[in-house]
Amino acid sequence: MSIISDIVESTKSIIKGMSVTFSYIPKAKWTVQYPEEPVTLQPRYRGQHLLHVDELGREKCVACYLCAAACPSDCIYIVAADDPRAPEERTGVDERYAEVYNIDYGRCIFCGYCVEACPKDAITHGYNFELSVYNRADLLKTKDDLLITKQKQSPNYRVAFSDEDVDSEYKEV
Amino acid sequence: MTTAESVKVTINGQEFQVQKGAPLIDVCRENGFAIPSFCYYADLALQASCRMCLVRIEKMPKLQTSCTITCTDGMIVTTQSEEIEKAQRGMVEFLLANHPLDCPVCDRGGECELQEMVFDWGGLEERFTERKNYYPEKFLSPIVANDPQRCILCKRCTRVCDEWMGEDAIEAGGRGANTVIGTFGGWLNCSQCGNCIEVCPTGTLLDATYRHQTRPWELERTVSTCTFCSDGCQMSLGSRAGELMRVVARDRYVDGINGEFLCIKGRFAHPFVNHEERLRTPLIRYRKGGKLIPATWDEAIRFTAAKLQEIKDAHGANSIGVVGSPRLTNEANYVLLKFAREVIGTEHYTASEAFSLAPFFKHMTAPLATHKDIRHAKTIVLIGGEPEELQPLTAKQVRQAVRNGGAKLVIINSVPVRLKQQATQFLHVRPGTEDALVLALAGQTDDAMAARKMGVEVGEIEPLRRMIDETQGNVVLMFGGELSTEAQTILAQLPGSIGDEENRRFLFHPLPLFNNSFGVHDVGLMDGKLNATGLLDAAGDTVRALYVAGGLLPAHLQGREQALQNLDFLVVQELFATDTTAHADVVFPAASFAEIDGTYTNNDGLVQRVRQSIPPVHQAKPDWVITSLLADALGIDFNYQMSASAVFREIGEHVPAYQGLRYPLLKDESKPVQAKYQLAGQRAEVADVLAELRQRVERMTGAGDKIMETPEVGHELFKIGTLTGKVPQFHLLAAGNPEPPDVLVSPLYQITIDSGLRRDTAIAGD
Amino acid sequence: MSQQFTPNNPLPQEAKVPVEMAVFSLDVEAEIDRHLAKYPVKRSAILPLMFIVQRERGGYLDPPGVAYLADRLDVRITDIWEVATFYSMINTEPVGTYHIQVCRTLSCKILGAGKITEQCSTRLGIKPGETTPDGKFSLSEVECLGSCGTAPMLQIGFDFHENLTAEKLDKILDTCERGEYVFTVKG
Repeated sequence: MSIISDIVESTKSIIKGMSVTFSYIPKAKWTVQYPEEPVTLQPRYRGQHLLHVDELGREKCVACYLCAAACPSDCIYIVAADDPRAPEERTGVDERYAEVYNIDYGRCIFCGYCVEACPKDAITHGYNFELSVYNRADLLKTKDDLLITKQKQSPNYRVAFSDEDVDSEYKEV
Repeated sequence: MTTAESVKVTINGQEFQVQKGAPLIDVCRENGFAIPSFCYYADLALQASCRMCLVRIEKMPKLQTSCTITCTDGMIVTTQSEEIEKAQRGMVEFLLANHPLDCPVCDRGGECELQEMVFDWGGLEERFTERKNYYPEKFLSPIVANDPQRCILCKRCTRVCDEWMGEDAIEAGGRGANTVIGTFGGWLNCSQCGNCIEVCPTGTLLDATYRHQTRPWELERTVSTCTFCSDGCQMSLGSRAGELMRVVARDRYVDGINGEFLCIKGRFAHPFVNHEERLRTPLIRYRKGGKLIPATWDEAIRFTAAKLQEIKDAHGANSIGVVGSPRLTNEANYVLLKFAREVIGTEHYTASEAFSLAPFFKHMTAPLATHKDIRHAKTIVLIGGEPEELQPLTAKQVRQAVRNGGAKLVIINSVPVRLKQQATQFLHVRPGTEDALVLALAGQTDDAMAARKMGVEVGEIEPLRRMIDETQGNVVLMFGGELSTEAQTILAQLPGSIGDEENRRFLFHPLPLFNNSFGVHDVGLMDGKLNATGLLDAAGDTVRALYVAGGLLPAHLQGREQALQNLDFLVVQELFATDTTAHADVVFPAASFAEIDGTYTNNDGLVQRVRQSIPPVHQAKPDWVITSLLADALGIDFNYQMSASAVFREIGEHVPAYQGLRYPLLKDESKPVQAKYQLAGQRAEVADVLAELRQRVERMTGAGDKIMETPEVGHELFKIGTLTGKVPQFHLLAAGNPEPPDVLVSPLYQITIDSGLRRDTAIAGD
Repeated sequence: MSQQFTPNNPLPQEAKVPVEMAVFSLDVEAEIDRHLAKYPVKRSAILPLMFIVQRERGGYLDPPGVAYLADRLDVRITDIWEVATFYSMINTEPVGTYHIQVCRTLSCKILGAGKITEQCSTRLGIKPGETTPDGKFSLSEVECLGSCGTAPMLQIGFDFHENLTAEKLDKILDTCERGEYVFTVKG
């Protein structure tokens, strides 16, 4: 193999490679300018959980433990309690409610089994995805972090309306 | 007993030889054909209301309920077909017509028989669109929550209440679609055993103390033995995160001698385990009259060992007394005994037992009856004792033997106990004259004298003797603590002197008070020179120091309050601060029954396992561990390597009755192992005892009043002592919960902690 | 950790277990004895005795009355409760002077028992199973009273009122409200 043929071959490869690079320059950009711009999330995106309330503001959760039972990573911890007050004064919709409802996001794998298991539609996945913290203990989210009335929604996302309203490579797949 | 006739039954094309008259449902299930049912419950009256156990029997026009059909020769049965399945699916649909869909809230969810049945037989859709019956949820008592909507009217609760407990407190009222389970006035006026909760297949009757606490699958389940009386019921402890949440005896979790039976104590008196007043650390009182100061384990052990050594050197080994307890495990008591003999070298060791069974065991001429034997006995003689309050399982078995087995029951008691409703014959004797009957039974006195002393008619003794003579089957002789040691001896010799006949067998069933009364005797802790009262009387004199495990009984302390103060040194192992720890120089926090491994020996002589359910709370340690730590500090290493199993292996080598027993042999609670007690022959020295007994009977005045009043339910059962006083839900009763004027409410109100139920009944301990 | 069982529990219930026993006049005792003598087993006389006690104790079985029955018949109070709740003729709660029992079984139901009940309800302002605050009326729905040929029907006390129409019912209720109603059948 001579030096000349080496040079010719490598120049060819460089041209081949760079042609791909240059061909992309005039095309539309896919890079999301996070956090300056909101990320578009699929409607079925599984973010941080939300605990829902009914129209009177009572928690829907009745502490049946089915989510904890369904959880493959064992990250849900519940303490049930009895609420002997009249129905309209109660914390929850029923006389049984979750006194403690913790999800350990250090363990959660966002599989969504808890949402599937819930007989009361009390827990769903929200869209909050910025879960990184400086302290590992902060990954443990309590009821105050999870309740839909208390959870602060991040301004950094928007939810896609439909399958077409997507700006990522998923579209092409 | 004659063996029942064997008949041929064809089930689903297979032929089986079965006992004639056996319930078809049992036969099918035993042979592997699953038949669903709600209302059928073995050994209870038949109900046939759930209609789930339908089978097709040839030559019968319609589907039949297999629970009410008994096997007859040539029966051809089909248990599975399209027709049967359709009927069963229809039944489930009807059962669900009024059943609310609130499984997520219901405490039974996850272990509900109806839920399981619906998984197998239920439809996907509910076709009933009508409004469901609605009844408000309510409490029938502080420990029974009732949601009538969920009821499927299997009536197991009413049958259990009537047949097991003889109380009939819960019944079905109303009619037709409006039938509900309830009580008169809305309160359960009963002994609060909670068996109705246990047998309920749905969430109609629920444990109000465990209400909405957690879910069954969240609980870690441990099979263990009850610690409250000598019956030794097997139960399942449910714990979560180091907390004992509930105790049940459900068939699916545990299969012991008691079936699903438990009493109020077994089922509800467990919150003392996680009670906030449990001793947290070892405590040392550095000078007399000073305060108990928390200390580390190392310091407390070192301090105790040094003090004991000092006293031993100064006053000799016999100046130290060691007191075990019939509430502790065999392991704890054995290690205590070993400590007393080998480390201290004292002859003064004993246990704080209410009465000694030593004379009985020494002269026993017939084997011990198990609870199963009692259920199938033909004649039961109960001398003294009150099993309904003190040994509830024995009482249940006696009642069932009479009701379902046609047994004859003779009660000899100075108190008209409730069990006398079932009795064929009730000898109402004067208090303290039970001995006279034993003498009469032994044929050593004329009936007239005995009858005069007891205050009964002369003719009342002969029928009893005849009843025993004519029995075809087992005769169970039960006796309580009322009998003197001499009477115990003579009674123990009685079967030997009467002799077994072909179809008759004598069995004994003593009724001691504590969970390990037998065990403490077996390991030999009761063989010491002095008993507990003797030790206390000698306190400050020949006995300078006491090492007490498990606390002294109030009966022992009565009138001897000064004795403990006279001691130079008192070491106590306890769960709570008690009357005994008030005088202690060192207090070690002991672990309760839920925190240890070990064995108890019940009044059947069955050696049953106690298993660790939760780690010891705070700094508590098992009793035997504390003793071996002390032994270690005094220079002798028992070398148990922290293993209860090693202790029990040694018991198996040294205690004759437990020869060859090991933990693996005791693994299966459904096949309990009975200790091998030596049967005595006829003994010559009994003549002296007999003479003594005769003298004792002759000394009786033959005058005095009888106790005419039937004691109230719970007079012993609900005593704080037996419930340990650390059971919060019972405090609620005293706190003045709805107690309308001029109304008698649930007997639980009688446990009035606030009104100061006598302190002396408190026997804290594990 | 244990259940809070507080006096202001949202599931209020009154505990009614008798402490004292009802006492009856000699005439009534004699009547009771007469009934008891009729049956070989004491407990068989439970129904006639319940009627007597109900009559004497102001129209319903009050706790002392039940205690008396349990004692006389040698049964438990739950047994009495079981029987008493089965029969609509026996009341375990106080009832008004005019106890209106509307039949709701098939024939009556088809011919409009529901409307009759509704009319009573709206007019008296009470639901079935309730009593007016003045203690005058009680309304309940009962099973077949054996007058299917003349459905729909109701009974006040033991008087039958048959072939009911809205006007007829109004007239009956008017008489009751004016206090002019005369019971024809004595209980």
